Amino acid sequence: MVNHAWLAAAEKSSAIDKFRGSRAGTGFGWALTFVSVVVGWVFFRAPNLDAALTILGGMSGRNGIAIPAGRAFALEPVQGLVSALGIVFSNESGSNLVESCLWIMVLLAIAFWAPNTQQLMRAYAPALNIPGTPSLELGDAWRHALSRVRWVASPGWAITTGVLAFLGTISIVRVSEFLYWQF
Amino acid sequence: MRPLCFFAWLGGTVVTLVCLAIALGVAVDPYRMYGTGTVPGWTALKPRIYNQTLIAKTYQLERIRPATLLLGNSRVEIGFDPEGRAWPASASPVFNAAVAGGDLLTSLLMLRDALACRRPDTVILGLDILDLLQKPDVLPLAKQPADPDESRLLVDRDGHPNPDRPLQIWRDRIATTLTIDAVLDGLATPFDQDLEQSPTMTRHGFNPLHDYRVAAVRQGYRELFAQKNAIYRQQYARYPAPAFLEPTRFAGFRYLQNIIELTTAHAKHLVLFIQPYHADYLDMLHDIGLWASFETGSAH
Repeated sequence: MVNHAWLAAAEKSSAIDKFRGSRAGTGFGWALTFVSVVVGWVFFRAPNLDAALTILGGMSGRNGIAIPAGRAFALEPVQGLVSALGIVFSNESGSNLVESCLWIMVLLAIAFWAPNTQQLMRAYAPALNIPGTPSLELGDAWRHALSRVRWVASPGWAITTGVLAFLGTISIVRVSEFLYWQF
Repeated sequence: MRPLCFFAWLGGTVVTLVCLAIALGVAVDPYRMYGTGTVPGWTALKPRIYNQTLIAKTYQLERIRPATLLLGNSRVEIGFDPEGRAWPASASPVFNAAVAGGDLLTSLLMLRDALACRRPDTVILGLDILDLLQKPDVLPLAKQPADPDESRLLVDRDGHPNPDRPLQIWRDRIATTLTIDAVLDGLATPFDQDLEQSPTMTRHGFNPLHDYRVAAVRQGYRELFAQKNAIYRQQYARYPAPAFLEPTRFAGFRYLQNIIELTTAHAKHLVLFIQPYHADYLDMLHDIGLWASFETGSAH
C-alpha cells in the first residue's frame, strides 16, 4: 500500500519523481520501506488490534522514554535536556540495552547489505527467470563485492554451513514465535 | 567436490564446535555448575553467573554442604560474606543461599535442598517484610504450581527424592554448555576479570557487588538511592496493604512457619532477623500507605 501510494505520488508530482530517482530518494525509500515493514510486524505479533496500537504508541514514544538506571551516568552532561524531555530511569539491565543495540546494528547490516539466498544460490537456478546479475542500484563497491558471493560445494562453504548450523541449533533455546504464527 | 565429502566437512565442523562449546562451558564454568578449579585472572570471577543464578546457587550449595546456611533475598546475598573473618571456625563451611528477588518460598526450597545434603548447625534467615505484602491465599504449598527451577532440587515439596532431578541435571548441562548464551558467557568471562569492577558470585554464594562500587563512584550513593527509591515507590504503590489479622492466611507466613518447623526439627540454631532499613525507605512506606502493614507484619 505504501509502495503504491509512493509511486502514485511520484506520477503526479515531478518534484517527488525527481527526488525518487536521486540518492537521497533511494535512502528515503529504504527507510520508508523498513519502517513500514516494522510497523506491519507489530500487527502480526500483537494478540489484537488494541495491543498493536498500544505497542505502536510505545514505539513512537507516547509513553515517554525510560533508560536503565545503571546508564544514568552517561547522561549527566545533558541532565537538563533529560529532565526537559521527561526521560525517566528504570530498573532494567543496562547491559541488555547495550547488547540489544549492538544486535540491531549487526542485524541491520546483514538485512541491508548481505546477499539473500537467491543471490547466494544463483549458480544453481534457485528460481525461474532469475536475472544473471544482481541489481546494483547503489553502485557501492562493498555491496558489489558482497553480491558476488555465491555458494559452491567446497570445504569453505561446508565449514561456514556447519558453523551456521551449530549457531542456529544452540540458539533454539531463545524462544521466538514464528512471525506469521497467527496466519 | 563430492556430496559425501561436503557433508563430512560439515559434520566434522559441527562435531568440533560441539566439543569446543562443552570444553569451554566446563573449563570456564561461567555459572559454577561444575565446580571446576579457577585460574586467577582468567576464570576466578564469574561476571555472567547471574544469568543462571539458581543453577549456581543450587549446585554450589550441594558441593559446599554448609554447616551454616544463610537465607533471604538480595540484602542477605550482598550483606553476608561466608568467607568473612567474623565467622567462628565452628560455623564453617558457611554458604549464602540467599537469592536476589527471592521470597520465603525460595528460602524454604533452598533450606530443603540443604537439609537433603547435610543437617546445618545454624540457619540464618533475613526477613523482608515487603515479601509478606501479598493478598491472602489459602492454597496449600503442595497444591501451588511448581516453579520449573524446583525440578533441580534434591527433594520435592514433600521431602521425597525428586524424580525430576536426573532429567533436570541434563537440561542444566545443556543450558550451561550448548546454548548461545552459555557460549557467549563462557567467551566473555576471561575478558571481564577486573577485581574492582567485575560482577561475580563467590564459591560460597556471596555477591561482593563489585559493579555497584563502580556505579557509586560514578554517580554517588545519594543519586543511586534516589533512583532506587523512585523505582521502589512505583513498584510498592501496586502492593496490597494487608492488616494480617490471620497471618496463616498469607502464603509468606506459612512458608516462614515451615522454615521454622524444619529448622527446629533438623538444625541446632535458627536466627531470624528483620532487615534494617534506611530512614528514607521507611518514610516512603509511610507515604504510600504501607506503614501499618509493615508494623503489623514485623510484630507477627
